[in-house]
Amino acid sequence: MIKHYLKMIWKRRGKNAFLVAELILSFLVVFGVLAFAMKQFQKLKIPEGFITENIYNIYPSLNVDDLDSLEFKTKREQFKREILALEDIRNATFATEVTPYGNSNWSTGNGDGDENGFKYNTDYILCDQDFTDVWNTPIKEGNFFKEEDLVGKYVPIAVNQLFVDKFLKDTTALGFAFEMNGNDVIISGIFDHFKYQGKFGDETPMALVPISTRWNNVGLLTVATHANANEEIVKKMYDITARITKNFDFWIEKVEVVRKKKNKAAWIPIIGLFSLAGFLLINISMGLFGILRYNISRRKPEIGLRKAMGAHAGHIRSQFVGEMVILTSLAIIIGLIIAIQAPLLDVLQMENLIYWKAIFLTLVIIYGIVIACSIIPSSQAAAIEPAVSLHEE
Amino acid sequence: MLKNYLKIALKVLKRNRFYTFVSLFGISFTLMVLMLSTAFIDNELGANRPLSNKDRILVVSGMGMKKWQRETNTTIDTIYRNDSTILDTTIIETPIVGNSQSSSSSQLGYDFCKEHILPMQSPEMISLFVPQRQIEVYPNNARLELSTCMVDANYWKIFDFDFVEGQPFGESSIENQSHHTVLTEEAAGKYFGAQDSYLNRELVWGHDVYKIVGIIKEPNTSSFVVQGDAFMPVTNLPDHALNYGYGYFGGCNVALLAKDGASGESMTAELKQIENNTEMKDGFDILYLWEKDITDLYAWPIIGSQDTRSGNKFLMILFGVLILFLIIPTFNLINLNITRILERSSEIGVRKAFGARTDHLLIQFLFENIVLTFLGGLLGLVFTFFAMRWFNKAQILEGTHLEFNSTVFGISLLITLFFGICSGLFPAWKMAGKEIAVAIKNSRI
Repeated sequence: MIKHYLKMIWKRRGKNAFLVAELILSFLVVFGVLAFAMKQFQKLKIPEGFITENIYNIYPSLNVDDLDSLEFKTKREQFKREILALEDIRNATFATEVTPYGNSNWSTGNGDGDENGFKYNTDYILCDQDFTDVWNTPIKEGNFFKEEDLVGKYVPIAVNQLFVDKFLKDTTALGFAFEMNGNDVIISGIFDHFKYQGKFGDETPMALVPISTRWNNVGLLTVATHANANEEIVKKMYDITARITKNFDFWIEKVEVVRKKKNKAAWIPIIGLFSLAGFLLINISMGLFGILRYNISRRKPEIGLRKAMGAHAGHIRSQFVGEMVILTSLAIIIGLIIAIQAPLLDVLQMENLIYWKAIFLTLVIIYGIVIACSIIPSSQAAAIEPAVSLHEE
Repeated sequence: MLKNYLKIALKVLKRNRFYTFVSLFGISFTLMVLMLSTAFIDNELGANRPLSNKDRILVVSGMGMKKWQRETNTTIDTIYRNDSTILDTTIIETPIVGNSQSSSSSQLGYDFCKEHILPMQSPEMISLFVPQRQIEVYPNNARLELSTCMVDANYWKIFDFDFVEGQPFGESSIENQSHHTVLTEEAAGKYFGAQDSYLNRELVWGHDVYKIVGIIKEPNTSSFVVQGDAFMPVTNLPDHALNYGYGYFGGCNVALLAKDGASGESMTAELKQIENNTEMKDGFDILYLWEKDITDLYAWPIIGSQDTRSGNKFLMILFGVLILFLIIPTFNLINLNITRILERSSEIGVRKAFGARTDHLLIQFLFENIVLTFLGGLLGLVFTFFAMRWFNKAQILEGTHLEFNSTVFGISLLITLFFGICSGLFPAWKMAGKEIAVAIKNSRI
């Protein structure tokens, strides 16, 4: 049966070549779009691990020559104290400019590992003791450091679960000490997530490190307000910042607004690609429909003859659908050979599971469209009366 | 002759409505996407104002400095003198070139630029600017966020902004740290409310009052080099924003304009010399200047990195994707045309039997297809207009404003013609070459 179909397809190879080429390309395009989208959606499963409502970032321009000086520290503390004294302020924290949706990241590591064979590479944020409270990132094991903890030999830090999973699988993470940026640090707290590069960003290992006397270059004050605070609070923060920094070269942003911008930027390519792929598929299905309808009208005598020889309507229908399915399979085999290069060469850098899911979904879509487009014309063909079509001939 | 062809073409299109609809749907949407892409590329990366000199401009937007790892050699010489031994220890630190111990990168320091970049010989003009600093102002006590670009006098000569009124500030404003500013039309409207003229009005930033000397039209491109709501003299910035006091880093960018007709290569070579000849400080061993043209800068956040120029790669990927996008509808149209044209084999047979030449038939079928494509193109143009309006209104990409100009129209016309010929040639050629007997026999007249 299939051999017979193949023979018929081969006889019309000139016309079928373009159809196959079109199907190969659409297979690849749909696969590409789905793989990209699924990879992006996969990232949505990991929660961000912080809140963004009623949070403001102040980027002050602290004009001090010596960042390690006492003057700088006093100024910083006065700044925070005055902000906290405002009405409706929940809490505030000093940190480096590595902040959610902020486009900057600091990372550190120890290259090939220390003498104990411990090797790490992590993003980090320098912050004060109120950081987890402001961002509402709960510490699930251990404690977040307090100002008074900073006197010992080891600097207490907090890391995320990914850090533990990646670098400290075989030991107890809590209480683990190592060297970081030239300081002896000890893990005193573990939190679940802090995915600061956006909903569609990758989660990276993350360490929250206190602003110790040695590391002082913080450029950001993050302020959390109560839900009932009105917009005037921004003006009040503005006035305080201007008075303390003695210049106007600073910037306050609402984190919720930045979050929306960042997410919009991530959605644009996904929606754009989907609409392009959708348009291509509609285009292709209408084309297929037209071609089949015409083919059937051309092959009326053949159908009439088959029916006269005793073929059922079902036979005719399955012949036309079958021919299309075989043609599609041919295209898909070629498409698969090309698509399979991606994981072999590891160009897409994605998990194998997503890759196979994307291929499977693509197969469903392409076969679905082809079958849907061929069913109506072939039903028409099956309804042809042998007497009529043979008479025409 | 052509009139006749046109008549036949329209009749044929009318006869088979289904095919006409399917073809027109495919053609118009394909052309719409292509026109939108052309408009996008032209608005973002075309040589339009204020980037008319685009091909002659190189921007140094960042620099990197590296420290090499040190190898410490301790040599101990034992010297006998007066019956006692003296240990003479010399420690020699040699840098291992190529093994970086630490590296930093940022924008350029103001003093570094003044000392090393401004004296450059190969560029015709050099501008020093600090782009994209966010500030906030309070007109009538309402909060307004502005993005500033702090520039020098040459900036206005390299980038030919479209001035609605007034003019740019000049060299004297820079030297005197004058509080002058140039606003975009949109920003001025937001600050003062819609007015006929904004000239000589005053913008208050903190305690400082800035006089408005010019109003410019918002650029269509989102390139950060020319983006900003307010442009002010760079000398008004405090020193810590210009020089970071570490290495040669600071907040500045430099735009270099090549001499007329010259390529950027001589400027690149001179920048290389600066890298080699500058004395290092703060323990750094090597300095890199990363110069990019406008396209490279655009590609940087998408596929590039700080130290590579990937504009050409970006354009190649973009065109590759567009061609791939064009191929599928073309194949679809070819398939449709092959089937559609079969219907007319009787006509071909008869015409051939009466002596029509193959190339005449070929031209006729091709012409019919081009008529169809142009109808689709016309529809696509209408769709494009609406899509653009929606795109601009919904602010899909901030800073990008799509506009239809003659370049875009010309390219769209070419694309339409190309699409028509591509999708029509193969079926027409196949059909025109048919044997008379076969053509007539295979069909019902």
